[in-house]
Amino acid sequence: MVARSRWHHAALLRRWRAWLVTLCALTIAVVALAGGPPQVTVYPERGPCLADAATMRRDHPKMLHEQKHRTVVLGERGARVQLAQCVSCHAGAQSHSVVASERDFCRACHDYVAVKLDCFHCHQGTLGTQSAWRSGEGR
Amino acid sequence: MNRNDSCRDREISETDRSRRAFLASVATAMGAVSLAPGIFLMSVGHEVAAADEGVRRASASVRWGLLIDATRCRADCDACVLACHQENGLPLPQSSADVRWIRKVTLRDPKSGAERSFPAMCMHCAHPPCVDVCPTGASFKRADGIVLVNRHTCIGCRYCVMACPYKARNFVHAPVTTQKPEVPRGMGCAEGCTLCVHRVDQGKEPACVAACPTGALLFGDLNDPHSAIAQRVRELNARPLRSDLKLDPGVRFFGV
Ligand code: HEC
Ligand code: HEC
Ligand code: HEC
Repeated sequence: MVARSRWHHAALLRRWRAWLVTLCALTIAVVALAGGPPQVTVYPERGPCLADAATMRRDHPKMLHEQKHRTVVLGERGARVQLAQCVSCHAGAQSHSVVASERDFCRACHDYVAVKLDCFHCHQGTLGTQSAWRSGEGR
Repeated sequence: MNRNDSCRDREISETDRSRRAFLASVATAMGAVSLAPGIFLMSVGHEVAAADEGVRRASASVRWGLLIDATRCRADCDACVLACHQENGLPLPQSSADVRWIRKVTLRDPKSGAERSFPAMCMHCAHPPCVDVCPTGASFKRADGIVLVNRHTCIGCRYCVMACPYKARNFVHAPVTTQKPEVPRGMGCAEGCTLCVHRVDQGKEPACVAACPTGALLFGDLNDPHSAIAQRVRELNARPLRSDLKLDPGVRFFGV
């Protein structure tokens, strides 16, 4: 009686383990198929990126961090990496921005990977924005 | 030897060095014969960095400065102030909390009633107190003497605002959305006159200088004895404001 019950428990546990493994495998498969990096819209007609997409995905933080020191402190101009140029190529066709709407290039991916992007508090992330002074709505 | 020099030394080979020396001599010759101020400023003010052709850096052989001739400045004119706000995307100042990188100052002698009007801004000191007090190194002096805030490292403590004897630093209190792409700026940072660094690096003069209708403002390289500004400073014996502080400002005044 005792022995049978023990056997019964072990079998149950085995069956549960099998279920768990299957469940995990299924989840991974679903994530792999439906998830992955979010679909960002790119506009190849505006020109090629600084590097291929895989390199850009991996290295763009480093590129930007290095360049900001070189431009601001060393006074380098005409550099390859410039935020304003990322914006001019990657701004959405409707929003003219890389951060204004949820589907805009930088924001879409950064929301997904949950990496806060604070550059556009200062850097202009929207094309064709006039200063308040020029459009006459200055404080 | 400053940071800029040591950095370059590591990067460039002997061939690059001689090529750069050749380029520099050609550039200086071109600058000397050219009448166009733009070409002159660019060739002298920047060195070609070896790592990437066409990328230039601020050079320690230059000391950018301004000469403000108060005898030519009209009390009723604020063209330089408007030009600064337009160039840098600053809202027009309405209250005392609004950002000002340049302001008109009027001095009045109570005895004679005589008035003097002139613009004042960051004096781009050689020994800037704002740099001394900055806890993060964000307030710094570029190789060519321009004093800036590196807003990537500024934590907004405002020590520099207090330390500056010329009251030239501002703090951005409100969110900004209307920046110009070439002049990023935003809430929570100290900022001040950049001597229009984005224009100067392209060989142009600062917006206030370009806008002055009476020629009261002169921009150039104080280190170059043949530059218009150096000659004029000598001629007029133009001195900085509060020269007793011995900060060696790059902005000099005449007739104040
Ligand atoms: C001249 C136009 C242009 C400029 C400038 C540019 N990009 Fe790109 N970028 C593209 C194009 C086109 C693609 C798509 C490339 C592909 O799919 O092979 C791309 C792809 C990318 C990707 C990969 C997106 C993905 O997941 O498929 C990232 C990240 C990226 N860019 C970031 C940047 C950053 C950051 C900058 C500024 C430093 C920048 N780009 C500047 C045109 C540009
Ligand atoms: C395909 C996804 C993707 C896109 C598109 C993308 N990023 Fe990123 N970005 C990332 C990821 C992931 C990280 C974090 C990398 C890490 O921490 O190693 C990151 C990090 C950064 C960082 C460093 C953040 C920090 O605080 O250290 C900056 C700056 C940045 N991205 C700027 C941009 C800009 C600007 C754009 C638009 C031009 C952009 N990114 C578009 C995925 C993306
Ligand atoms: C508080 C304001 C502020 C914030 C926030 C900020 N920047 Fe900047 N950034 C500046 C200023 C000011 C300059 C100098 C512009 C000049 O001199 O032309 C600059 C210049 C740069 C440059 C070189 C010029 C260019 O157009 O590319 C890079 C690269 C850069 N920043 C990257 C970044 C990145 C990446 C972030 C976000 C992680 C960021 N910045 C956040 C103010 C800011």
